[in-house]
Amino acid sequence: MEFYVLLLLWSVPVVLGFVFGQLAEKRHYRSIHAREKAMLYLPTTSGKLPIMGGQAVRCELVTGSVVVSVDHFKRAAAALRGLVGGPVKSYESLLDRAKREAVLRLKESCGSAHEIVNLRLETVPLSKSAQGGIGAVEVLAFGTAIYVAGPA
Amino acid sequence: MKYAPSLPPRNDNVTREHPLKDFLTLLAGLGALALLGYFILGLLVDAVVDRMGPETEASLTRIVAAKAEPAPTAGAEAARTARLQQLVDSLRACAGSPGPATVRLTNSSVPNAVVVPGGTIYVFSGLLDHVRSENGLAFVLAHELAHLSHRDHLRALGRGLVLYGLAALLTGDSSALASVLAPVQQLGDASYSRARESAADAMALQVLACRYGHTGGATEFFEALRARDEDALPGSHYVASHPAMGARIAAIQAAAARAGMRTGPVLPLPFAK
Repeated sequence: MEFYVLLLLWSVPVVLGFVFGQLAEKRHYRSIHAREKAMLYLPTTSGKLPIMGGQAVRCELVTGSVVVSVDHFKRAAAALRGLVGGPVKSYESLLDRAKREAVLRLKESCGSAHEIVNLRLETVPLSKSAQGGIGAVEVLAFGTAIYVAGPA
Repeated sequence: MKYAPSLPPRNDNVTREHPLKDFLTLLAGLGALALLGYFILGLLVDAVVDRMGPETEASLTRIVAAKAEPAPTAGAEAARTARLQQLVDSLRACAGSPGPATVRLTNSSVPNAVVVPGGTIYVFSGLLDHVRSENGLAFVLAHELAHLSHRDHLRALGRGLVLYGLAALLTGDSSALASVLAPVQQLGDASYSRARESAADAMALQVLACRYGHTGGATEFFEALRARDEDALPGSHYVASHPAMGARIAAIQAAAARAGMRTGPVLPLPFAK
């Protein structure tokens, strides 16, 4: 009897996590795709030197960060995967979304810049040690926005 | 080289599989492994419980033993409890009981009796309405004593540990493991293995034959339950679709016939209802 209660206690958050997690992920990806297309005009590279040329008049540090929570479905899938090893596929989309969202926020914070160089990404797991906590991940994108003289 | 803005045609960093595929494949595979593990470890528990010495049994039983409620000191209930206790004590030698058994009478209309680790037998007052003779009552009490002699509480404990251990391994949640050691684990309830119930029935039959010299009254309680079920839902097909009581009665009668046990005159109940 208690075993079925235990099973229920385990499966309800997993089902909820699947339903709402997948909905949220689909919505997020739709937003990401649209905004990436819209921000395509702003070149962003990880190199030290500008690629667009022009006389730089101003450059500044720009950042964009996002915190995305793991849902119980993804965590359960990862826990099962952890027993046998192999690629944790359920976390792939989570980190992909977080990284792209952070870069998008960075670009949106300096929409009038000419280009962005030195783009770096940092990933920080949150509430890793909290007992029973579900965990979340923060991705921080930072880089140098370059403004040039005259019309970009 | 001129910079040309473009988006990558596709993203190879994220799986294009449906998220459920990976999850369900793993769950099915690990679930099957866990079932197999439960089966094998369950057999191992039985083997260990069968082979352990009386000292180990006693010290393990102490972990899960529940303390009996204080006995009623006066009134009709005290007298009835005392008579039930005498009956159980007279059966203990025949049942090969590992330790003393204490009887407590519980007010409940449910016709049932349960035994908890530590040797306390709870007789629900509803049971007394469903037996007509001392022999019929003795069979039910002997059945509970048989659970103790068979160390069924240790089997339940061992299987519980295996089950919750596997569940904790699979779900990563070990909080339920502690509940395995919860003191009161009812052994007589229906969720417990049918095989253990049949074994207890078989031993109870032997105890009855040992104590009274015959097996009269052995099926009295189950027949009363069967009659009650028939009353509740008229039509003989109901019994056919729920053969639990019928099967138990048949098994008891077959075992008695095989052993050449005879029925005899039953004694009246040792107290007024």
